[in-house]
Amino acid sequence: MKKLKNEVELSQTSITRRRVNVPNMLDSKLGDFRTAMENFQSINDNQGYDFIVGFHGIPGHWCWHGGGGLDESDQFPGQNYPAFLPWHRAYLKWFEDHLLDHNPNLAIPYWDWTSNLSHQEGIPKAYNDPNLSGGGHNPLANFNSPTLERTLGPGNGTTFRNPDPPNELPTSADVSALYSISDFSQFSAQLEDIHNAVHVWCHGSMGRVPTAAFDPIFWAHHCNIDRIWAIWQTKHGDNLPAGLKDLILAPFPYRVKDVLKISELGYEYAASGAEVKFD
Amino acid sequence: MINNIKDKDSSRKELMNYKYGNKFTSPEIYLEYNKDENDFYQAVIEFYGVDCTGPSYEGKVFVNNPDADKNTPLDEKNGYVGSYHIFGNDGCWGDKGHCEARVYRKYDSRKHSHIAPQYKFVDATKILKKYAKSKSKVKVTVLPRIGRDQNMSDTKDVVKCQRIRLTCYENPAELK
Repeated sequence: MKKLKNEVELSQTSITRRRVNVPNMLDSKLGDFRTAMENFQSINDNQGYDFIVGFHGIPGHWCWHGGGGLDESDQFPGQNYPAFLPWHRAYLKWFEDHLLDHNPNLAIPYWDWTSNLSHQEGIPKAYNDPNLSGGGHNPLANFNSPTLERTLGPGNGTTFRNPDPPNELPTSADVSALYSISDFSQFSAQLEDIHNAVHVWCHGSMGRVPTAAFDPIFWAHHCNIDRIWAIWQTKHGDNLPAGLKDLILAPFPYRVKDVLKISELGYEYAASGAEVKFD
Repeated sequence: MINNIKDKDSSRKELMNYKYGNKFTSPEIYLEYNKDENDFYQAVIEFYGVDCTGPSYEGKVFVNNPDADKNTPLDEKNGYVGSYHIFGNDGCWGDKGHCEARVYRKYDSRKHSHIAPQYKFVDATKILKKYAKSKSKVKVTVLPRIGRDQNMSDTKDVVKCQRIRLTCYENPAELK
């Protein structure tokens, strides 16, 4: 917790990071983001992409899904909390903090899969082209993971997608309906189901929990989920179920109450943005 | 929960090679609703303790249509009320015993299992209003459309849950 306080103080003296919609990224910003991701992916220690994406499924299995429906089972006591949203917010922050080591002027972009463009092209073009126009590999298209290679065998370490038709992605009406729900648990359950639908829509590596986070599109997808929660929070606040606020979001050094305000985590969401810096 | 009742399958080509698992149909559930009481304004079908150890799938939910199959139009006439989506683990990815339930002790720092069962629900207001007025027996059928590339687990009997519950809510605004 002491560490978080330091981070909060730091964020208060820093410019708020702006997470923007993927198609609205300037070419120069997208280029910077790709370079940072490529460098991040090349690191094989605990500060590298392969290690951190391994928290979600294999080999870490830390991710939090579901909650609220354990009924008669006594095999999973104390796990009935709807912690899907706060756990993934903490995870995004952990990932972004390590990405920023490679370029402090970046933030993870979000993929709005409800947009007209997404319903025409599916996976955003920036993440879909395997090769860059100027030559070279696009680090957003896939990731060749030592962990996947070790688990699935030689030649099977590269993430892949096998998506459904774009018009089958969730619609803006599906998401708009969520904003009228005032109960956090109900909101969380319904947003999680839409989130699941997008994972299933992607198929391939994204289509199952153990391998999903290895695919670079995972981060843009979850950024959008986090954005929808942030929008919902502006309307309904943080009326969480008893006990949830103090839940530890392992393996991250946060409790749920530490991740409720995105401004205190140092970022905001915007459709687009531009700036000029003077030396 | 995505409840848009529209036939998303109509434009889909056979080339997509969707695989369907075995259909799950509940026993008859008796729903009592006295017509002389206040009408309910929302009804939901809740699925408790839904298994997520198998493949990812879309569970297409039908009411009183145990014969529904992959060719059944997804409309109210055929009892379709909506779908839920399971983001599955597609089998065990660890060593022997990795996915067996653990005993979580006091002071145990491991708070969450990756295979903890899920909670799902779909809104079934329109169709349950229909049945509450005519008959009170309801059968819930789930037709699972399996995610592609799920090859680490059994893709047949994927729909497993501990309890299905129907709930009809009164409108709080109309209560005196």
